Amino acid sequence: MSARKQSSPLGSKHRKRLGVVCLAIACALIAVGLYAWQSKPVAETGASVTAAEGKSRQEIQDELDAIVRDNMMTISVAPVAQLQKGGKLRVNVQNVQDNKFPQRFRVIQNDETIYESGVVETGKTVETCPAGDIKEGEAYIEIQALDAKTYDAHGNPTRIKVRVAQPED
Amino acid sequence: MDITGNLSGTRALVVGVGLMLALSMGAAPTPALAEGRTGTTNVTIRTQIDNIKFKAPTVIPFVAKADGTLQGPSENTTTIDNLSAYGIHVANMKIGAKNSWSIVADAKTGTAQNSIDFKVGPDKALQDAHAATQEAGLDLSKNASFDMGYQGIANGTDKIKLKTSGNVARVTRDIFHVPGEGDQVASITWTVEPGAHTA
Repeated sequence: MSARKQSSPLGSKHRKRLGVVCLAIACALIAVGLYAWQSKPVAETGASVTAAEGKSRQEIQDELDAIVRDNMMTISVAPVAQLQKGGKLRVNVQNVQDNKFPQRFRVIQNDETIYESGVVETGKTVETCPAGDIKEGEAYIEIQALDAKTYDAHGNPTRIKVRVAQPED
Repeated sequence: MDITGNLSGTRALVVGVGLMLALSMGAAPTPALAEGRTGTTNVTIRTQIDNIKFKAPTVIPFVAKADGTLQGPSENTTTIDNLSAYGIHVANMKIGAKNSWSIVADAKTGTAQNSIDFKVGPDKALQDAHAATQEAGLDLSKNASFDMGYQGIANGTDKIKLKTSGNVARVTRDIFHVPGEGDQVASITWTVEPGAHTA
């Protein structure tokens, strides 16, 4: 009894130390797991190439077609970008609800980026953006699909040639 | 001013009513009109600021066979679909190489490692990727094969189907173990604008 009483503080200290070690190991495992999860490579694809062994031509075709179908994106912008009061430009960029990707867009004139948007989630519309120094005439709106998790660029961008114009009275 | 002849839905109905009105006026001229007061009335139409809308692939994947030949997705799947009430066309295609790939005119010739040549475009109008790597891209504004009619046009020309073909040679990159859609070789930027090609 007395022996147990004497060893009890030591046992408690040992258990505490063991607990701390276990906690540290658990934290380390979680950290490693999180790192592995976060550092999982995200495919940045445009035109891509891979190899396929042991598959028939049709099987390969079906897989490639499935990739294309999964990566189709609808683009919707105003073909005439109207200059508006308050230094705004009406671009009406719609990332339609059916799309699988968030988008980012740039307004380009004479190879210079006039405006670059933030992330436009699916189902959202950016009706106007700052006009900056844009002039009447030809310009481009470039739409870039983004990875839904990382917001990194995904696949090929698409440009739409638009006309910058003064508003009609 | 954008002028279109092809419309659908409500706008077509409005135009239809307008044209019917003009025709009925012509069919039953009033005596005053019939007596020497002649003239022409221009009936014009243009697009409102309705959006240009289309669907395009963000990814075009290839599989490399052992002999270096590339197999791409089918043209019926790889399409640019016009979802607008007026015609649109692809005006430019610009291609940039990625990940140390070299986009060349013919991968089988030359000595560069990780060489690729490929073509993409509608049937009988395949465009050479190498030619599209120049700074200005490849001008397609005068190419009727890249026109798309209004959405739902009867002959199915509201989309263009993209065929692909190509080869790789002297590949040192590990395309066997790459995850996801594959090893990115290029980025293709399509430029689309309202209207048909310029003559």
